[in-house]
Amino acid sequence: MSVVVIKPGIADSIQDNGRYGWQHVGINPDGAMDKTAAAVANILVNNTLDCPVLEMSFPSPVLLFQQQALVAVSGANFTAWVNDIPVPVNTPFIIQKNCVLQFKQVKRGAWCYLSVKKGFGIPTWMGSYSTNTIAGTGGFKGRFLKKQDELPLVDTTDYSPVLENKDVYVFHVQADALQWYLNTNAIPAILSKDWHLLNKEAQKQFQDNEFQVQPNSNRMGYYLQSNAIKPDHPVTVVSTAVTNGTIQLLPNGQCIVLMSGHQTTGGYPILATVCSAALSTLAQVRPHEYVKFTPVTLRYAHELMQQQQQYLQQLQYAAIAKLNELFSAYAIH
Amino acid sequence: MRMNADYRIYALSDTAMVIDWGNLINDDINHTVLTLFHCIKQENKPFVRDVIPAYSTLTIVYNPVMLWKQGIENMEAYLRNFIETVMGHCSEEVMQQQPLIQVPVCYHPQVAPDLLAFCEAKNITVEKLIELHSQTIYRVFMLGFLPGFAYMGTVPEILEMPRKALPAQQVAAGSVGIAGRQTGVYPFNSPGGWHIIGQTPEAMFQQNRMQPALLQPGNRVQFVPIDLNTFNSLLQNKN
Repeated sequence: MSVVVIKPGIADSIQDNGRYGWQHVGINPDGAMDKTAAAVANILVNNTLDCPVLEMSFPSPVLLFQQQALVAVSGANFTAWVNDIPVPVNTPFIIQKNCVLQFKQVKRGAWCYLSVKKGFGIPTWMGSYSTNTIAGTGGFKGRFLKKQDELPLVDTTDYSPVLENKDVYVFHVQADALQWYLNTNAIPAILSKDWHLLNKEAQKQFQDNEFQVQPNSNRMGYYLQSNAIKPDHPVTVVSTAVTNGTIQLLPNGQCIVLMSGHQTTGGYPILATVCSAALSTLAQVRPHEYVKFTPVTLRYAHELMQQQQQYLQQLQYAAIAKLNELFSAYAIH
Repeated sequence: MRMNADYRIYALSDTAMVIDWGNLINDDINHTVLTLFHCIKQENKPFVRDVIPAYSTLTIVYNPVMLWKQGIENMEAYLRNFIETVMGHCSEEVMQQQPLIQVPVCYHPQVAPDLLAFCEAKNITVEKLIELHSQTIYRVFMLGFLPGFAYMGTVPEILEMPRKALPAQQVAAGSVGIAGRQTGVYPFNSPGGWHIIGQTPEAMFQQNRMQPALLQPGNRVQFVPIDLNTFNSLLQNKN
């Protein structure tokens, strides 16, 4: 039994926390654009954090569930519906056999995550479920989903005692995930390698600029439009490793910030790298929206990351307790 | 380890530290980069997620959560110390053990769209180009751009050629190119700006191999000329 793609979205792919250990041979880590949301979605159905989730952009797919399933959506709010019933984000729900999950409009954000209890039944490649569309492998067939694809379900729990004959059962619990999205007017970033190539004025300009995310942005990177930033002298830099959040200065004075589908190396000057704890916030900025960057220290970046980890851990404990309570009331194990 | 130049260590991000020997392409410096790459790999530290060599930098991607769990407070100091300790006892022997990998290449205009124009621009015969390109033993400086794409050098000076002003929209998988004094093989069909002078029937990247990428950082590589018939039959056997 599977989740069947009735109608594909524009960029639906299986992702997880990313594929590490192979960047020295050019295999990029990939992984969810918003890893916090992917984690929250997994936590809400009591999964471990390494379970594969379905990442969706908008337009999103229309999905038919061939069997009952415990699921959650987190990240962007694309207004999820099960048949003719609206369902909330950041809340676990049980969907009835032969019901359809779809997303009708963008309320907030750019990437939405669907988790299913026990994950999707697909193999890992090089230690990860993430889809690598460049090598055409990993995830589901190494590509974005197409019409009539079937994502196998693993969980076979009978949820009928909870569902009765209804199309959907929504749990009375919601994760306060929004607190982890930072202010897009002050995205914290660590200044890096080629920052010194800018004079004082250009450095100030980078910090004052409002950067608009461009429509040609994708999983590899977000193109940013702002007042052009020019170094005093034209610069050539030799290729070096880049990472998720790296802000590169292009020859035309515009910037690109690399996202989770980034290449492993790049040959443009590197001004700064967005803090790990702010990557989810950045990922959820939609085309035409604006961001500003604020330089922070490495120590501060690590503190932010630690706080985010603690939040996820607390959420995980709370969700486990709550789900166990609800399930035991219905004698589901 | 012989430190043949000054280096600096800095943060690329809150999960990556860089050892940087300066912004240049130089055999000796890259040799140092690759030596340290192999030594850090051999340490097999669980907090090290990735070690990424480039021409003159080595980037270490680490997992801060794992270091917190070990009770490490000043992460930057800890990582600097780790890097410099490995540098201290790292031996260049790791580079002498690098295998020589032979890659068959067909230098024929039918599979190498830029071959004739390249030879004309350089005023050499195709035979001379084959001789020059295939008699050099190259070193894999780094991989990047695409999974399995190896940047190799150094190409004989007479074959030096700046990359194309306008990249080709489609370069076939297996295409062997030259850009500057580097040579490389496209593992996938891709847009590309290198001058294509040959093609290999060998799979440079195969997802189901234990090591999907044929070439690893530091490997020595030699191209072995094959004719069009051999190329076609090898390609057929592969599919």
